[in-house]
Amino acid sequence: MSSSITADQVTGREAAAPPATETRRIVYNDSISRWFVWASVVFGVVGMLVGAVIALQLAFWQANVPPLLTFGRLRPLHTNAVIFAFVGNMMFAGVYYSTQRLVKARLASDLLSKIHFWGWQLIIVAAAITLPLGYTTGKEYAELEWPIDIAIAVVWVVFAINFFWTLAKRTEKHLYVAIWFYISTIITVAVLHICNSLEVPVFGLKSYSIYGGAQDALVQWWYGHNAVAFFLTTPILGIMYYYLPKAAGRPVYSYRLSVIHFWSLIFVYIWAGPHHLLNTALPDWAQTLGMVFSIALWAPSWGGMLNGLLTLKGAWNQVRTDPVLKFFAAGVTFYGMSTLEGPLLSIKSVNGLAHYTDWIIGHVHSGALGWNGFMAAGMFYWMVPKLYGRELHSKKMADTHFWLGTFGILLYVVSMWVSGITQGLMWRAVDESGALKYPNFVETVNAIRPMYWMRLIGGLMYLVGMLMMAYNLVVTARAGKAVDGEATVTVPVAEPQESMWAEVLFGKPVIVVTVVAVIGATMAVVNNEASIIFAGVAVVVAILGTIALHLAADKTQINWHRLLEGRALMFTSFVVIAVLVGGVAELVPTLLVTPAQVNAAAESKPYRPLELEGRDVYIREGCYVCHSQMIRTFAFEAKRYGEPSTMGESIYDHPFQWGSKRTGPDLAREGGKYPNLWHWRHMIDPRSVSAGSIMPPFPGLATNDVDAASTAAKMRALRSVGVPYTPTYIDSAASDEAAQATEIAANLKTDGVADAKPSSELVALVAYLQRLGVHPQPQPSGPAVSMAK
Amino acid sequence: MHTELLAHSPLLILPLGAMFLFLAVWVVTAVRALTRSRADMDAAARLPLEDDDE
Repeated sequence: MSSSITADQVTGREAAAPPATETRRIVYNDSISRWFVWASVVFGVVGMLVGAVIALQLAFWQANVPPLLTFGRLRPLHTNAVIFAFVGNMMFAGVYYSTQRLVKARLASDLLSKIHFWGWQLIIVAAAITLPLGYTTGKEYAELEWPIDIAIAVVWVVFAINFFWTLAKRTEKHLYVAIWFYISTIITVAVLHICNSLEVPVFGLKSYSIYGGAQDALVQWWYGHNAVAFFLTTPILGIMYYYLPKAAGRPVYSYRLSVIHFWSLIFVYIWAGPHHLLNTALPDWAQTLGMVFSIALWAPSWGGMLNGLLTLKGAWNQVRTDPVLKFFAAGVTFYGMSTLEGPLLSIKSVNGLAHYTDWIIGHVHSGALGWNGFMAAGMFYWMVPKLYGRELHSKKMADTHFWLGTFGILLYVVSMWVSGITQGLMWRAVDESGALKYPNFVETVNAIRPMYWMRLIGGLMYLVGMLMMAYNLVVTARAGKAVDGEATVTVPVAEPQESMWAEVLFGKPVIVVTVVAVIGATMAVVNNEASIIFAGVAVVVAILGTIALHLAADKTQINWHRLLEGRALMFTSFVVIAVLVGGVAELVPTLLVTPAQVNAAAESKPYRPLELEGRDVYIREGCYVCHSQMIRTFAFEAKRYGEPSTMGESIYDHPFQWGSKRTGPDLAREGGKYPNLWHWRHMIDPRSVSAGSIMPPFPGLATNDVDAASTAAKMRALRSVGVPYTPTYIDSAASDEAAQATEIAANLKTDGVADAKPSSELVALVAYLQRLGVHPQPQPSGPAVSMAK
Repeated sequence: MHTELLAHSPLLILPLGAMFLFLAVWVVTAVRALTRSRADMDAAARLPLEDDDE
């Protein structure tokens, strides 16, 4: 049950004389993998159960139970649970199990492994408590408040130390392709999380993003998209490269392709974030960049998919009988499908139809359920029998799980395609006179409600499959006993010090690339004619350099990339460069824009204190989950909502509220459309003023009081991130807040709402909604708009 | 148009430069990977199969 390797394999070099060697016995730490497997199974079931509940809430609004269990509060819980608890724990189980075996070393620290496990579970529990309670930053997939953000960073660093320390102790010099993907995951997730979570704390569980408006939008979707890339994709690709060959009993189809796949994917992925912001107020160049790189992403994604599927070449007969391979084959196929659909959706014109509709929800779930969920199932069905030294309890049950899951996904995805395309077409439909054919938004919602039931059925089928898997795995484990893997390795007694870093860093490929990049970049600083010449020179140098490299290659010498694959630190450094180049180049130009440059003073004023409190209620209740505040640059959008939104209008929005889905209408210019009374009644009973609405009721807001004592602290925090509140105005916040609230309450009383309480959250929310899209003149005692702090 | 604010920004050298860097890296990596020796690749590809279980 064990194998041996020699240190010569490690470097790929012929030893001049056989070095003195010793044999070591390694006992792997598989306990940690077992723990993470069970955590993933439990949280997977919980996360998908919450998903089924919110699917029901969309089909049947009465399933909302305010204040804690409404769609707006539960949807972030669902996404966080599935991404970070289900896939996160699955990833850690898979990474720890495979890394030890690939580098032939036990995990560096059992203590760090335990801290990692328990720390991550505590974070999940904290999320499960705080999100339904309404503690949220309002940034999708990054909703957790600042103390939890810090905990995530700390636990991630613990994971990184444990992982890289294990690499440092490895007895297998060569780093297999799966390890490259793990390295890119660890590095990039840390960068993304830290950059996107930069926020100014106000108090215990309240903070404001340091970014505002378009800047926040760009950073958020750089993060959001790359959370998909580096949390849901790259680690799972690493897992594919290890577990698929293991399960099929044959090496990966093409190791060459895996090299190209890896570098292309990590470099291209990091650029694609702006495709979430197409046709919005984001600068055009950033949108185009996002679109182009998203389309380019198709190639490496399919490179990976084909490499996975072709690994099964010659083993397809096994796929019929082995549930593990069945899940892997289908998972990789779903990956291919969603990575074809993603670039398609990133084309501006296609995105114009699909964005804000259920098509995007269908796309996300073909990836999450098909790729992540099926890869997890395949890995668990393969791993648990090994971790407990026993055959899987029931292959038949695993088969049933597979078919239930597959049909569940198809029902889900098809219903969302139909729903999204139907609603997208209805939004833009005009009659012969050019007027909107369906001006009432609720009409477009009612047309797709049957699809919401179909989605629920598909989701429930998938959930039943998950429950069957949980049962199957538990019975398997109970029938066996925990087994830790072992291996025997032969290593040199004293490994000679190598000084290959210089060969890597100053290798010929690096020199060629640097020269070409410098010539290419020069294009940007010379005039148009010269830039064409430089572009031509860059292409010629690249081609000639590559040919020269090929001709000069010495077959007796170790290949440059092979050298790199043996140097963990150097490899990691190159990954950091690949990731940061895209991130910095894309973000910095927009982050350096000042309010004055976008004419913010003319278009936007900071919120008055009561409006600010109303905005916080809006964020707490998760209104942004269903309502966008971004009118895109389309005639049909302008007809429905008003003139397209501009960068300047949202520049003081920390966080931005552009949204990503319209289950309800856009609210960017909601202010002044309806009287206060309409908003009051709409929030207490939406159907009383909007027949057929599926929005949950929020009657509690009429009785809850705003915490006026915290308003000044909030304004000070916002002032520190650039919102131009003056100290004088902050000092008068309480009186301004009371004055505006009294005015609105008096208006409501005039209209017949006798019990309208000026101090209520609902009055504050009405103040905020009435302000959206309105550019008020400064109040007599109102906010100064000077940029000076 | 505010969305065109950055169209003339000198900072656009960043994405242009980065894109050229990517293209150069991609071409060199692809050619070098495709010309690597089969024996070298096969040894690396078999790593997951040299395990404790088999």
